Parts: sequence; structure tokens; C-alpha cells
Amino acid sequence: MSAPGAAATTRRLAAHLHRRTRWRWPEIFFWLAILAAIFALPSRAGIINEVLIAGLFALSLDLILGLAGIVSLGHAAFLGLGAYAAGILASKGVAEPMLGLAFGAAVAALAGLVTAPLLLRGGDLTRLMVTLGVSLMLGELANRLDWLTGGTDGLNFSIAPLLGLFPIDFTGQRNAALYSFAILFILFAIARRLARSPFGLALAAIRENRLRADALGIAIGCRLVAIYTVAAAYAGAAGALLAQTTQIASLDLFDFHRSADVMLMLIIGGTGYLYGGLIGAAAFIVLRDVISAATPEYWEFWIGLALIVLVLAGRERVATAPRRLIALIAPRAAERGAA
Amino acid sequence: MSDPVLEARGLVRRFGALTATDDVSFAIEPGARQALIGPNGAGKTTLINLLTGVIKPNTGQVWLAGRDVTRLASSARVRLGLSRTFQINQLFPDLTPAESLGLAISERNGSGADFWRAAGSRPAIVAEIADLLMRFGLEAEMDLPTRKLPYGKQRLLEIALALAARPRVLLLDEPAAGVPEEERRDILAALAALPSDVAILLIEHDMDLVFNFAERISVMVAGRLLTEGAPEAIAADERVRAVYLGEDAHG
Repeated sequence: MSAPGAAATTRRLAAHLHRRTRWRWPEIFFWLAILAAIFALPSRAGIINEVLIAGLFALSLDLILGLAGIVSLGHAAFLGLGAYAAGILASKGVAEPMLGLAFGAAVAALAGLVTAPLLLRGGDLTRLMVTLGVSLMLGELANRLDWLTGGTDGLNFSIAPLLGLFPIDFTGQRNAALYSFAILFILFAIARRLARSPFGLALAAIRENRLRADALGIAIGCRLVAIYTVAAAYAGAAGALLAQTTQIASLDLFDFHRSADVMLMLIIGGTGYLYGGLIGAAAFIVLRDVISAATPEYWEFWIGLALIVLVLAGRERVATAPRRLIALIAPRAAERGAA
Repeated sequence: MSDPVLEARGLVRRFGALTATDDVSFAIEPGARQALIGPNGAGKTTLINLLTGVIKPNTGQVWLAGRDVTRLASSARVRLGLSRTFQINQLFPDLTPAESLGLAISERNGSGADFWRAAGSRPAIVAEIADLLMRFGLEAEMDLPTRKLPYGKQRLLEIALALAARPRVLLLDEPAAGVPEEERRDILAALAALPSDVAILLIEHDMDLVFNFAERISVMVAGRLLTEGAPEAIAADERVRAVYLGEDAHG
């Protein structure tokens, strides 16, 4: 191999390895569009906030399911923990939102760190049952410790204005949405960076071929515990945001349907590319609102139908439909986006 | 003679009533070109799995670079310099060869847990990936998902990945298995070009390949090491001929 050939190979290689690290225009547009929606639709700030928080929760599931291939049916455990941690802190007089958020994420992260080793043995079925079991136990604990959590009545508390200036309670729905947006964006940017790091690449390797990942010397257990802990922190942050912007933490946060819904959102939006959770959350909540306005009792029928179509027609095909649409309109942009 | 880089000491592994390896002892010198042959069911795969740590022996020890690694996990042995390829490709179908190699290199040099740096941002790693790609003739396919590579190229990537760990010992499990004739030459060339300081243990059914490549051959039969020696001696050995009687000893 001649020297110029080697140089060309190295250049092409560097370009290939860097192809996903730069922020692309469609991504930037995506985030600006959300921001614009918050300002343009003040009367919908409540539902936008709900979508953003659900999106963060789904992003958290994507970290373990999409990046590392760990299935969970109990992700609501961390949502509930984060919500109660933030709520309890506020009810004890520490009403500063950012502190509550950090505390909620930290408590959830600790629970993730402690329970992650349970997921290292066994197959997917084991993981589904272990995660479900953990969420059931935590939900029942929250019920039982009613002196701390308010039990079945839930925990009501008030929250201080953000930075001492912007109320994020029901008088400040738009502030709440902006707060959730900021947190979602920061955590998304971190997740994006993490997914493109050697650590993220190792998670992809573990997901795709555990045998070979092991044969490359990857300490699989450590990596999975690490990402599970991060994902738990993200879910805890989502729970804290939810509690802070509604001023209530209730037992239904631990419910099975929360874990199932977030899985639905992520599958609808597509796993592994991080935007899937956000898109899925938006689709799920908007669909729910539109359909339940038309047929209040039977909206889940249509969600169920949409889900079946998605998984049978192939998530890939449905999820890449927007990209193919872009390809029709602007072929070169789509090519860059896909590369 | 220098100290062996990999050594099996009296390895016994039983599966129920079956003794898959029965008191197997053998050693690989640094930089050796050694082959392990034997009929199907001789216990070659079990021996490889014992050496790499996929399974643990009932009795006996594995020594790697002067260390008893019998109780170490397989990934820890990789970090100590024992690398392997698989008989059936074990690759990352959706990662590209460049990403797969970058991953292997990062894991080796200890930056694999780095979660903040972008993959591919270290010139030294990029240069090493480029070097491996060129050495194995994978430059043209570097940015394709691995599943789209022709089988022979995947086979080469299999070896390149194992080599990216910079092993002291490389176990090659039937590297030419299933490779179509026109791509075989690439595999043979890649094997011939492996660094001379890496000890290689080749497990292979293809006798042409074995006798071309190996400077020393170990023959395993029914869980035991039957004999060991230079290729000429093995070719002339009556017991080996008897074992392979009925099988085509040359290919």
C-alpha cells in the first residue's frame, strides 16, 4: 500500500467515524420546532410538558433497550422513585426545583445501581420479570410508608419558582414546559454524546453479539450496570419533573401501565437512535388525546391497532418513512442524515 | 527454549459421563506456529473453551504468560493477551468493520469505558484501525455494515478483530471454514502475514492449511493428546495415520 493510499484511507476512516458526532440540520430543526411550539401554543403548554417528560422517560428506556438491548417491564419504578424523592424533599421544605430534580435523579440512580446486578444473569424473560418485580415492590413500599409518601392519597407539596423567578406550578405552565424542555435537551445531548463514545459502541457490541464482545475483553457486566444506572437516573429525572410540574406524587406512577406505555412509545418511535422515544411519546400522547376526544372509552383500541401495524409492517419501514419522504424531497440531505 | 506463553496443565473436563478432555497438558512457545488437529469429537473445542475461559476445568490449570488464569473470566484473559477467532463468525452485524476494530482497540488500550470522548477522535486509534484495515484488505468495506460484507471478508474481519487486541497468543478456530475457493487465498495470505511475535494455535480440519502453516502439530484423539511434533514426524506417524484412516488426510 502506497503512502497516498494510506493517507486517503485514514481520511476516509476519520470521516466515517465522525459521521454521527456532528449535529445535523434536521436535528437542530427538531429542537427549535419544540421550542417554537411552546411559545406558539401557550394554551397547550400543559400537554407539551407532558410530552416532553414522557419523551425523557422513553429516552431513558432507549438507553437500556435501544443501546444495550436490556428489556424492562418495570421502568416505572425509577419514574416513581424520582417523583417521590423530589416530592418528599419539597414537602420537607426544600422546594428549589433544581435541587429536587438532582435528588430525584440521584435516588433513582442509586436504585438502578443496586438492582442492575439482578439483570446480568438469565435471558429476556428473567429481565422482564425482575424489572416488573422491582417496580411492584417499590410501588407497594410507597403505599406502605404512608407517613412519608402520603399513601393512597398521594403526596401534595408546593414547589418554589425556578431560579427564584419563574413559577412552574399551574400558574406557570409555559415555564414548566420550558423547564422540562431545558432538562430534556441537556440530558439528550449527554445521551447522544454517550451513544457515540467508545462506551456507547461497546454497548452496541454487547447488544449485537455478546460472545464476541466478551472475546474482545469487554467487561460486559460493568458496562451494563453503568448504563442501567444512567438510565435509572434519567427516569428519576423524568419522575421528578412530572411531580414538580404537577405538585403531586401519586402511587400510579409505579403502575404497570406506566412501564407498558413507555415501552409502547419507544417501539412506536423506534429504538436505538434516541429520537425514537421523543417522537413516540409525542405520537402516543397526541394520538391518545385526539382519539379519546372522539371515542373516550375506546381509544386504546386504536393504539393497539397502531402498535400491531407497526410491529408487523416492520418498525424499520414505518420509522424510516419520514426519512424516505425527505429523500423524495431533498435526496442529498437525506443521504447525509442516513449516513 | 523460552518459557511457554500459554500452558495447559492436566486439564480434565467432564460432561456427565463423558470426559471431553482427559488430562491434557501442552505448551505454546512465544511466537509459535502450532496446529491442533484431531477427528471430530476429539475434544478440540472443549480444549479451546477451557483455554479461553468459556468453561472451567474439573481439574488442572491454565497458565498465561506466567500466570495461573484458571479462575479468571474469559474477558480478563483477553486483557492478559489471549485472543481468539470463532469457527462460526461472531461479528457485530450492524457495526462497520472500522467501528468494530476501533472498539477492539479501545478495549485493549483501556479507553473502552470512555463515555465522553467521541469514538474516532484519537488519531493514534484511527491510524491503528487504518493499518489493520489495510493489512487485511478491508479498506473498501470499512464503512459498510458488517452483515453486508462477502463471507471471505467477514472471515478476515474475524481475524483482524482478534489481532486488534494485540494478543500474545491467538487461537484460530478453523479460519478457512466455509470460505469459497476464490477467497481462500486471501485468508492464507492473512495467516502468513500475522506478526511473528504472536504465538498462534490453529485448529483446523484442512490438512493442506495445517501442513503449510504449522511448525509444530498436536494431535488430539478421544479427549487425550496423542502426540506432538514437527509436521514431517506427524505425517509419518503410524498412529496418526490410523486415526485419520477413512478420512482424507489431505484435504
